[in-house]
Amino acid sequence: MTPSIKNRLSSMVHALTDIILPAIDSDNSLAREQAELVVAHLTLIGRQIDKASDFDRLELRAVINLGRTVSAIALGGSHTSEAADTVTAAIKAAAHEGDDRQEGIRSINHAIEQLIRACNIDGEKASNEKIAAKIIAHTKAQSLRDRVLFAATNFDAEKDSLPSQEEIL
Amino acid sequence: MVNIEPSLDVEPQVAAVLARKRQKRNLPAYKPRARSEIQSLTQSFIEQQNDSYAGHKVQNLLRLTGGASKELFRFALIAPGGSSQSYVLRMNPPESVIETSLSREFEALRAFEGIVPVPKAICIDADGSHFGTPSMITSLVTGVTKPLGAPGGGGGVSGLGINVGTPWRKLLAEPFIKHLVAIHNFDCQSADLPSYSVPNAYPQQAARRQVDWWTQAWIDDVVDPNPLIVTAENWMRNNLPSCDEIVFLHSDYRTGNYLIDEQNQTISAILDWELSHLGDFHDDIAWVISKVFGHLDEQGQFLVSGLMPRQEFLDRYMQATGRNINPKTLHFYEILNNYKVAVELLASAYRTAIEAHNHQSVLQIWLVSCGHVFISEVCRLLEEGPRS
Repeated sequence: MTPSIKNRLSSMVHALTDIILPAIDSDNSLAREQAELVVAHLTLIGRQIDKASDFDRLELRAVINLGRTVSAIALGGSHTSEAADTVTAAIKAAAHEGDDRQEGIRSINHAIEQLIRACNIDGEKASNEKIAAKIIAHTKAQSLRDRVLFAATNFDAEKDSLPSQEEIL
Repeated sequence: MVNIEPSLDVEPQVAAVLARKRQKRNLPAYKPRARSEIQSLTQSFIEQQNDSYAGHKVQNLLRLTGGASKELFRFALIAPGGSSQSYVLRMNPPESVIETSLSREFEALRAFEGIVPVPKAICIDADGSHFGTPSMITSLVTGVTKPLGAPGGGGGVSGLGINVGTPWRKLLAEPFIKHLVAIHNFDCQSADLPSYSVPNAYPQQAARRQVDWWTQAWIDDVVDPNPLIVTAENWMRNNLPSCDEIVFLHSDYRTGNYLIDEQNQTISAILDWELSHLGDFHDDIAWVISKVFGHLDEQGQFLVSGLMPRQEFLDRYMQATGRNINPKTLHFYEILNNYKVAVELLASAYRTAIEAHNHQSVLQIWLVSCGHVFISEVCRLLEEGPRS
């Protein structure tokens, strides 16, 4: 059995923290800051690695649901209907992409972006408003998951009130 | 399919900067140049300037941290008599979280000298013909972004969420407002600002040009598409406010972007003018009150830029300027500003990192995750509408 990814990351953090960082010239503040950020990245990856696949699976499922919803409610002219068909095709293709969930998420989101732009050209106003509301609701939930996954970066002023990774999954 | 991308009204100088970035996209990965090479280039650049620098020697050039968008160095300039002064060299990396014009920043520093505290703009290599990339030299202003004795929280990369502590809040609130008012009251249309355009071709142009700038950045840099970005863009296009008075906007005015003189207990320099432009004062006000740039105080009350409650800031600004803040216009610019930072982080920082086109790729990719906080804010603002 090979060493676990967590143990390998932990060894790298140790090497960087206790051996490499102290050896960096004290005048070289940029190199020091970069090395400290690498330590922070590796530590964060260590915290995310067990759950990353679950987060991707959940996001793909949510994006597929969003794509199905918005393509079904999109009403308008030829630009809108063509773009709605592209969303449906992207959802089908994602199902065949196997484990590359991130590529599936990317291609469906791209198709939805294009649908919104197409709706701007010849979509019906009421349908456009429904699509916008669905996208906002979806993104609220997705951005909350993203903030939970990256809470350890300390960027989030509300990080103390965010749910845990386990709770959000 | 026909082109469904919107036609854009991007300010000409901004469009040129964005075009330059696209041209650099195929460059190889960034490699740092030796300090000795940068020092030598700085020496020869100084020698090309006016006679007042004759015989001066550049010494002790060191890289600086901070500044997610520019390469920064400090150096000493030794006069023939032996006296020494410290300076800063700012260089554009091949790509960055924000792509900006160094000429504009230089013009802004020159324009505001003596009006608000700024580093002195010394000389500029605007087209990069000397340094290989646009670069400029300014004086070094002493000061800190987080004063001694401030609580431990905040003040990470880019100085977001700095908590200066209660005593400093009282000391800094007054100059913070005073300098913002001075920037907005500056007669920008008569000033020597050739790299800036006045957005007065139609009443909504100030707002429209900002939406279009960041739409173009999203189209150029997107890595992971995000339907909310296009939804927010649509909302803004349908709700563009008119601008009654065009003012100079700093565009990144917040704690973390000014230096504090601890001895004199005041602001010693306002930094980071690279996003400055002409437009609606609500734009800067919305930036100052952004949730990401403030924090909660000891009683759980939100402080804008870590200095004062939101309503107190708005009241003091209106009292000092006589301007009225329109809640609908403020709401528009809150959405625009959160959208803008989401684009910078989720698209431009990400693109820069994966292209390895920056001296701080690891910082750029670290910043990407912060974009979700701004996306979350856009959702909240779109749902809640303007505050009464």
